[in-house]
Amino acid sequence: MKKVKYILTVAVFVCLIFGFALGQLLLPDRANSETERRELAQAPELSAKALFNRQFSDDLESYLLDQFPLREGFRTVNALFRFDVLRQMDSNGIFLKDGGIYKTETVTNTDQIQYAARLYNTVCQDLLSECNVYFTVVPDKSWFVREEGRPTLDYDGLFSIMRSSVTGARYIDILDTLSADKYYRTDTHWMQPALFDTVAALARAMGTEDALTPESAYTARTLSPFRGVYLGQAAVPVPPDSLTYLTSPDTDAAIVSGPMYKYDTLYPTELFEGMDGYDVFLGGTQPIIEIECPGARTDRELYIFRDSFGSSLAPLFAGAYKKITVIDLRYVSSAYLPNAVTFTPGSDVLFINSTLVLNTAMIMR
Amino acid sequence: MLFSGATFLYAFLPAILLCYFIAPGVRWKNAVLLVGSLIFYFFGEPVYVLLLVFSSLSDWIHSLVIEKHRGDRKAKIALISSIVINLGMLGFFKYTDFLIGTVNAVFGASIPKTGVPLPIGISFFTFQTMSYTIDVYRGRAHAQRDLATMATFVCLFPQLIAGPIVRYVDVAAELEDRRHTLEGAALGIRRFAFGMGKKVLIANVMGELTQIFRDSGDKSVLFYWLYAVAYALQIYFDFSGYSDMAIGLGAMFGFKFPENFNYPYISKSITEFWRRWHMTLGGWFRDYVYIPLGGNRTTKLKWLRNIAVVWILTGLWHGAEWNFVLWGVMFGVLLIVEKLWLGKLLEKLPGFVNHVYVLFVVVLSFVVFNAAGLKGVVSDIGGLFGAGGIPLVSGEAVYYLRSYAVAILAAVIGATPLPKLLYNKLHEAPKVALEPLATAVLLALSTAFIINGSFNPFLYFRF
Repeated sequence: MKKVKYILTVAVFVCLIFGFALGQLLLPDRANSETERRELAQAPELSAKALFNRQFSDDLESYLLDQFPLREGFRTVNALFRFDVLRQMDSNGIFLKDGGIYKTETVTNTDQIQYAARLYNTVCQDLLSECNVYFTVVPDKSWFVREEGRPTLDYDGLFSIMRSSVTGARYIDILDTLSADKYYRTDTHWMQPALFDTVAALARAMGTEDALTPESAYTARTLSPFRGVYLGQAAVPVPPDSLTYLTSPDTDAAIVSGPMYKYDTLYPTELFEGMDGYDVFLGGTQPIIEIECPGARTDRELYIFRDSFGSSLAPLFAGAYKKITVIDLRYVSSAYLPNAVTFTPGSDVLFINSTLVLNTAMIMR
Repeated sequence: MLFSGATFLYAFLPAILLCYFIAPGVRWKNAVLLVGSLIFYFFGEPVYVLLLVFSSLSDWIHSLVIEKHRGDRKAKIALISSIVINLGMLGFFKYTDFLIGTVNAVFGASIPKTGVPLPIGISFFTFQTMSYTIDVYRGRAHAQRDLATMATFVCLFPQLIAGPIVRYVDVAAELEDRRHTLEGAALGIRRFAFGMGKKVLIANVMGELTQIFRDSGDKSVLFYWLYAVAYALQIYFDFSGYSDMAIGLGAMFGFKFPENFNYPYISKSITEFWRRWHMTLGGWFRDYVYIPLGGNRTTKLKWLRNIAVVWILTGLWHGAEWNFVLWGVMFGVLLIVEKLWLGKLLEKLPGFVNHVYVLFVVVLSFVVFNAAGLKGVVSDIGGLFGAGGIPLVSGEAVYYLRSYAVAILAAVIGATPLPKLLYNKLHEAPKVALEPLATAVLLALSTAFIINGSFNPFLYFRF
């Protein structure tokens, strides 16, 4: 009987070690991971320099890990073992609650938040002195499910710094218009169809609420499956979301342009199959986009300084503003802006960034 | 190259196993092991592989000289020369900057440090080679005439960089001729898989917790204790897991390496703890330092000196920092106290009290061990007792206690012989399926953790 046990043990080991080694050798390498939304490491080039500075051994390990057979399955096993067997409350900051996936940032970068406030003030002072300037802060969705003890960003501190330090713009509170279920379960972003209250609150403060496209005029269009950024990080078997975007006669009539913008619509749906499905909203990372809105019921202009949350928000102002200019200070320097954008006196300006971006604000210039 | 890395598990290991079992006869098998071991070391230390070759060559020549001139003065000179070279290498690479730092601190000097990186595993392989030449000098071993065989012993990858410290006499016969049996391979595989599980599934998870503590800005007394317990578990499962993997790999290749751990956390005294913890290092210091100094067969004063020397050296062996010296001295003092007074008292006390005493001391000792220098010792030990006005409990401490409770409990149980005792009570029939299944599950789960790129350092590599 012992002999059978020994044979089985050796057989299991040989099958696993040699099986996966052969799999590594024979299976074609993949260029990227859809679930993790990143490019996968490729076979490193062998050179004397790379060998002697240990770059080759480091790169080889990364390559083997990234191209490992059944990699996604192994990552799921890891996540399930942590959550269901070890009963860990989070895994590298990722946690599950009510079917949603959340990630907590635990380090509050006060200096970066203060930098954001200073940057807002500088832009207000240098470029926007004749405009009506507002700002708001988009809370990370983990803010809505915060609980005693769970490490989290110091949201109170962040809001406090922004509200007290941004002197050139008026704060608009949107917290009451949001809740965890208004964000995608598997992604960090909010859902466009859940933003009517938020848009109304912002437009009310800016005096254009009556001109907004009515909710009933929108048609919801859905793209599936939408695998949010947290789905890949968590590697848990949570079903993907569906991404919904809203069209209306106002959005359909909009004319979109920009120095890097290659599309003729607010929603370039061909980007849905790319690394980040949320790029459907205004094409993802874009420094400056101008949206002409012929259907608008006012002659006013709106400038939105935003991150990706603003991408899904901006189209919903198409009925209220004749022209909307969307600016991302992560991709265009504020010092360069006078060369690229003319700020019309009397226009509305909205700074809208998420807590995640404000906490790493030095990526804005 | 880490045992718990994809490069080792799914590239190096299958390749060397294949070459090894294809190779005919022990000489070719040794050649495969030697070349493989050099590649293994080269991946982590491309330049220092020459050091390994030099070490092998040096001790091979010295041992031949010793044997040729056995009994006369030349043998003694060769022995001293060998020890000086080995300790010189260790001293230069490991202690030069420590010495410079100490001189700078004490005398206010500003001597620049060399910044020479520590070759991985140098403390292990220099001790192995020293034991070899000393054993040849003492006549306990014959000098190995074949350089390749000698180099195979020195470079043997399973135990090269983190032990156990295998002496030449332990494997001399197997280097010349060894049997490869199905039983040996299966038991080696089982041992390797369990070691991998200990390292990846327990030590690394405990390591995450210790890192979380270090990064946290919400310290409390509870958090300090949580850290201390987690680190004590991490270092045990990390090092004993590595030793299990090394012993298991050795068995696959037909070697029988010495045991290194024997459930140290169930000890009832510090003396017993050190009979169960890093047994090959303890044995090395006993045989090559303590006994040659006279051991306990001398005056009380010299005996105390001998213990002090051994434990200062043990501390220094672990790291070139004053907290390691303090750690060694702390154990030296405790061992002396136990031998002189406390030992008899401990025998009369209930076992439970003895366990609490040992665990308390050991947990504290590892806080000293893992501190960032002496300032870190003061800060960390102070934190355990509320120094600096930190609160007793913090929200984060409670959160992470809850989050890691199952893992800590599993680790605590796994540090006792209880799982093994329960398993041994099973009949042979279910084991036929259980052992291969457990091997597969442990390897697959460990692979899952490795792929996910979790925390994966080996603590003992720095020694």
